[in-house]
Amino acid sequence: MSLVDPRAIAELQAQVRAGADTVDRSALDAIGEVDDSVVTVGAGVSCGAVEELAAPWLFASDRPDSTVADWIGCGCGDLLWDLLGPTRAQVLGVRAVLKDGSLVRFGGRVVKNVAGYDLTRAFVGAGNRLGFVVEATLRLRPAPRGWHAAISRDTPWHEARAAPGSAVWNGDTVLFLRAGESAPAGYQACDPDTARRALRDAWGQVRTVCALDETGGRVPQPGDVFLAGVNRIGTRAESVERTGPLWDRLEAALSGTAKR
Amino acid sequence: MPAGRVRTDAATRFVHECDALMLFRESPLAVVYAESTAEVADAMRVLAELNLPVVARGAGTGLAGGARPCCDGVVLELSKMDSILDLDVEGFSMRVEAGVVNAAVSAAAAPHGLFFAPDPSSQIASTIGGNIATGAGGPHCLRYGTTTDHVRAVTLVDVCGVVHEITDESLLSLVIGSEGTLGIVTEAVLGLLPIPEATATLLLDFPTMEEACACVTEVLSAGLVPAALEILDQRAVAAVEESLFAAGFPRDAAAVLLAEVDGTAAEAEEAARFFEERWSARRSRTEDERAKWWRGRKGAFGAMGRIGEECYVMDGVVPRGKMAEAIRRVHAAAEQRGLPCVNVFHAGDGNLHPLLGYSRDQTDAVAAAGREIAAICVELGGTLTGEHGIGVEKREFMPLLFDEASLAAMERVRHAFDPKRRLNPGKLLPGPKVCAEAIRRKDAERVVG
Repeated sequence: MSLVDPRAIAELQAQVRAGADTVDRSALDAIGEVDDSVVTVGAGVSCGAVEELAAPWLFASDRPDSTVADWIGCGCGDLLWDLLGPTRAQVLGVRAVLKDGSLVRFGGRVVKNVAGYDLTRAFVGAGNRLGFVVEATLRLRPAPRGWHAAISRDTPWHEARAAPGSAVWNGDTVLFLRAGESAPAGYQACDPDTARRALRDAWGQVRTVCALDETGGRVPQPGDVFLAGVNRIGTRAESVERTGPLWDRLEAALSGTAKR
Repeated sequence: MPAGRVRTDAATRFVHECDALMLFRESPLAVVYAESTAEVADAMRVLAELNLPVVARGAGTGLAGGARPCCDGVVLELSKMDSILDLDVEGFSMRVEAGVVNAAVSAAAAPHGLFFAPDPSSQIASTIGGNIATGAGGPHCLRYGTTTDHVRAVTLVDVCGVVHEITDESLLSLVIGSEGTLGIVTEAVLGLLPIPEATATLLLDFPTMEEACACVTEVLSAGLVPAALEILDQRAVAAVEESLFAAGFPRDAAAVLLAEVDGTAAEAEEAARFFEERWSARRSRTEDERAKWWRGRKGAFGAMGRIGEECYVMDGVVPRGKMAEAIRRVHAAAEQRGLPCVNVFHAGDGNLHPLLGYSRDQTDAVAAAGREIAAICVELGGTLTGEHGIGVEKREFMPLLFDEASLAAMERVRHAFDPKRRLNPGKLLPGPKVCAEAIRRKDAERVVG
């Protein structure tokens, strides 16, 4: 069953078949009901609207003004990693129009799913290279029972990354944030809006999330965000262009241009 | 390959006829034991020249027949590739060969305060290669995610023998859970997590399955994400308590729920108190007691030898709010066919594992029950598998879940990586009956000699 207006999808399919490289998905603005901590939304819905809809469950994107389609395409919104897992873990399923105009559905509405190839996660962070997401099913998490913060002026970045929760380093001070009922030693309670705003301000600058040991020796820069405990870092560097024979095969297969 | 590493004797072929799903068996032409990525690449190039199908295999603990051989092909056995190549404590990662056993990863990481989160019940035997092939999960995936969330890179040998290093997350997502149909994973860089400061394990018992399932929803709605929430029904408890995995679970309860909470000491304490105050949960008093409870849970599958000559372990997922209904319907599907059924499942994820006992003259009945249970999961808004994979078991059920266009897209992906469909044929995607491949066997036998 389609949540999004089939006429809007049909129109988009027609555009794609006509060779469009970019499409306007603002008409894909349907929002389903939250059920069992899962919600299905049209790709044109803003992430901020999903956050509001999700309450009291938690959905957190780095850019509330961006659409779900753009958020999935960017794939670097690992805000609150310790609560939500990576962005990929928040997207349970997608419907997408492939480059040949066909409409497909991958994944589903349940939180564990290994039926068939995981093309849902393949779409996350892939821009529009594999096709155009028209609808997404998102996983929500229980809202944390509290937020706690600590500020340190003498913690070097390489120590900050070992802290529980998230850490934002501005070159001078480190802001540590941890969601949960109890405060880690040295942390003080803070209100949720302040905590999330601080993270969002930092994440708004992030363009790439990768393992710290995959930065090629790059020294972390002020404004980088550490996803503590998982050794990942959000940086302002633009993502690396995806290329290579396996990417080419995947892209060709989904675009319908692969040789048979 | 060095002498002795390509075996065609009857005994070797016999022990590779199936994995842990013994309903489906086929004898391979040969078994090749590889000990390095270079040897896998060499083998793949030779097999490409011979145009022979290849099924990779680790410990053979798969429950969906993903490592069942094909009669005109070769099993590529990777269990000898069992070296831990590098442990990067600062980077929270470990590079391992595909044949490393799951539990060995956490054992090697533990002295450094780290662990590998995916913990399938088979973890003392199953290999990382198999975990990656199936996208394995386990009880603690409720909080920490499945294998796909904890693999940072893989070395993949493609169907032509070309070696690829994959770090791109979209490609990793594609390869993990692809059941050896896109290439052979020979090495992986695994992400490790810091061992939580504190852990508490709790035992809850309920007079009805409905109440046990409702507890799960209530816990998550209250803002808690326990590390694990596992349910055993009364028959499962009885089987466990009569086995060497006896854990002291209450036999009179309709359902037992094992919960584990972790985090900082204060977080674990507060979460444990929530269970104690709301449900009078019993907290493990010693590490021995905690270990015993988990042995009971993880040994439950092994204890099921008591319910039938053979045991069929199913895997399906439903929305958490539909678990109790699903369990009722699963029991009905089994009882209608005279099959004993017990349930041990990852309740926090809605991931059911009905276990059906059967005798060898009931294979048709158990297969029919399996199909009905798969259909129930899909009908309730769930999926065919949460962690075992599609394998040979459920490939023909895929149209229950995916429409023609979506299956065609997956088929194109497979074709792009393996145009001749030599990598684990007859698995994952529906298609021509595998036995049709037997027609080619005569030619293949001639080639292998």
